[in-house]
Amino acid sequence: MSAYHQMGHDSWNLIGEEALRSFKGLVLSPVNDGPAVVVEKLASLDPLRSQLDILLDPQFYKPGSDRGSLQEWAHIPRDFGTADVSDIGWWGERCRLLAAEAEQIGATSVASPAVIPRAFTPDYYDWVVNCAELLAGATRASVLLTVIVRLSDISELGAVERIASILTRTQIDRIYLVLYDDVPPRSQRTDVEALAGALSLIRMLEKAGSRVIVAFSGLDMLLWKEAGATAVATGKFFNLRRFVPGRWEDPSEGGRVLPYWTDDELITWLREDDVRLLLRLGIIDGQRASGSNPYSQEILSALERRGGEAWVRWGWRQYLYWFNECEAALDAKKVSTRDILGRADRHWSEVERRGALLFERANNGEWIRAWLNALLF
Amino acid sequence: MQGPPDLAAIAALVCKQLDFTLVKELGSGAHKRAYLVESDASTRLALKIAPVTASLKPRFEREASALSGCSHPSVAVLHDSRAMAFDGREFWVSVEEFLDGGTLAERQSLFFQNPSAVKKLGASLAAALDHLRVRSLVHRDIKPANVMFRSEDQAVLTDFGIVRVLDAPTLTHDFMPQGPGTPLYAAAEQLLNEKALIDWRTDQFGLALVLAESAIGFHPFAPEKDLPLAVARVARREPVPAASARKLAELGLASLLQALAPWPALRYRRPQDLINALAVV
Repeated sequence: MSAYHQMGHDSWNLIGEEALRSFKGLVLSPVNDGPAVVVEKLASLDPLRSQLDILLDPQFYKPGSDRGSLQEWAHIPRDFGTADVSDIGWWGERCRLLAAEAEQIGATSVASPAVIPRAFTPDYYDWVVNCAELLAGATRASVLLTVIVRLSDISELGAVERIASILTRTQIDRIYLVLYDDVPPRSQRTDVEALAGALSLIRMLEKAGSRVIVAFSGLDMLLWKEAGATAVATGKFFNLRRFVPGRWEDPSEGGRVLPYWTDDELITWLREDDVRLLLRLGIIDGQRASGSNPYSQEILSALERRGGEAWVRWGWRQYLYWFNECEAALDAKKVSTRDILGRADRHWSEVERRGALLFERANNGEWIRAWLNALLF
Repeated sequence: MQGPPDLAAIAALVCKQLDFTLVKELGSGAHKRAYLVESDASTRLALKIAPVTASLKPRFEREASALSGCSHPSVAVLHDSRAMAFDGREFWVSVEEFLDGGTLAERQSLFFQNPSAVKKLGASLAAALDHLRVRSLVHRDIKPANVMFRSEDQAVLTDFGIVRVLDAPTLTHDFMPQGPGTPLYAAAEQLLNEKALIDWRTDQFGLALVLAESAIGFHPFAPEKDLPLAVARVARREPVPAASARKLAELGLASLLQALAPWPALRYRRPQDLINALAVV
């Protein structure tokens, strides 16, 4: 089992839940919680805590002026907006403070600082390696080399090999990989060549002896596991309403969080109206769904009561349960990504054959074939 | 304008100052001329002298600094290295151990179709690369002429003239189409001056190339003996041609193919991995 629960807003209550206890670790989110809250919440996890890899992601890449709780952390300086962040010397102090904070809160692992650069050049990747080595020299915790890779760049000839060569220069053999793109909310990634590049990068890093955690994954974790990623992190589940929890940015507030059903056969998230539609058409088999995920039963019961009951909390849990169980099954080779996606493709064909038009227009399953094709490269 | 300096005369002056006996000239490199000297009746040393220029001085200083931090049986011993002035001109003077076993270039035939000797040579030089790696040094010019022998068995890496110190500012201009080094033994990242990709695995490529060439008797990227084509193939990041790969496999040296991979990420990650692979085959 090597799934990580990527913490978001108010997700501590999910950690200890019986059906969700088998995550390998937590990715702490300083944007969402200050250090005092983290210490308190981690203490409340005992004795489960001792079984978890507590990974602190310093989130230097959080853009914009709204940094949430980040300002409560010592590793984020007040002059962050004006500092020359390209100066590796400036990062020495940041790494020292980050190491001290990690020790203070009891993190077992720390992801190295990384920013989103203006250009993703070899110099940038060189810089992230240097920064990770600075951190490794300052802490006794296990260090992960954070790297942000822009998907559109890695379909270029030689790009994957170049990036992998720089990232494997160091003896730091854990990598916290953030895949970055401009796919709009409510869309899945469908750029076959970019996806194939990401798969190739993961394969190459793992083959070179690095253990990759793909951060901010979603349903696409199926791909990363197929490429041999050692671990995958769930993404912040509050982003689910954006349809792409694989992206790391928090949604801008202002709208209510909608509940989504994680469909393990269509490999999609469905809104309530679409769940009802597909249940009626028999494309979702409620009995099977309930048997494979205890939270599906809770959602179906809520839908049956027809009281307009909010089931967001069950939706979150249903996704986390699927993520963890699916990752474990893939790891144990009980299922394969190709089989899962092949089955999803057949189910989407059935949706089409029955003439079902989902209320969520972008929810058309087109990514399934893109993902299957990316596996062919 | 000053003419070229008489280095033999300078060598005589240096010997006088350092109380050495000049025995004979050993040869010349790109910048330095080497002389055999004796500090006493039983101690023979290599004295190397080069005129100092503004562009070369930082390299000489870097080489001296790099070598002075090394202590490994397969890395040449540097006894002294400094600038000295004679007649208003500055010269870089270094005193190294004298390696009287000759160069690998002279002894390459001993390794031809002799995989056990090649593996032993590879393991000792890979250990030297590990020694350099932990000091963030990349030799960048591994070739048969820069591998010398202290004795029949002890290979020694010499000539750190273009050593790269990974955590120091680079001395190579980014705009140059090619980085320093001997093209025939250089990895693609060196040929293409891709500085972010240069690390100990660049030396690994050079070492593997030297080992493969010694074992099969020709440059592994040019089974048809066309050396410019070999350099072009490496620069294009092509794999080792099938004919060479087959020869290496027949000799039980297929493990060298990974070390000759076009990208650093595809080569052995640690020197010990290369040493293990050479032993296992």
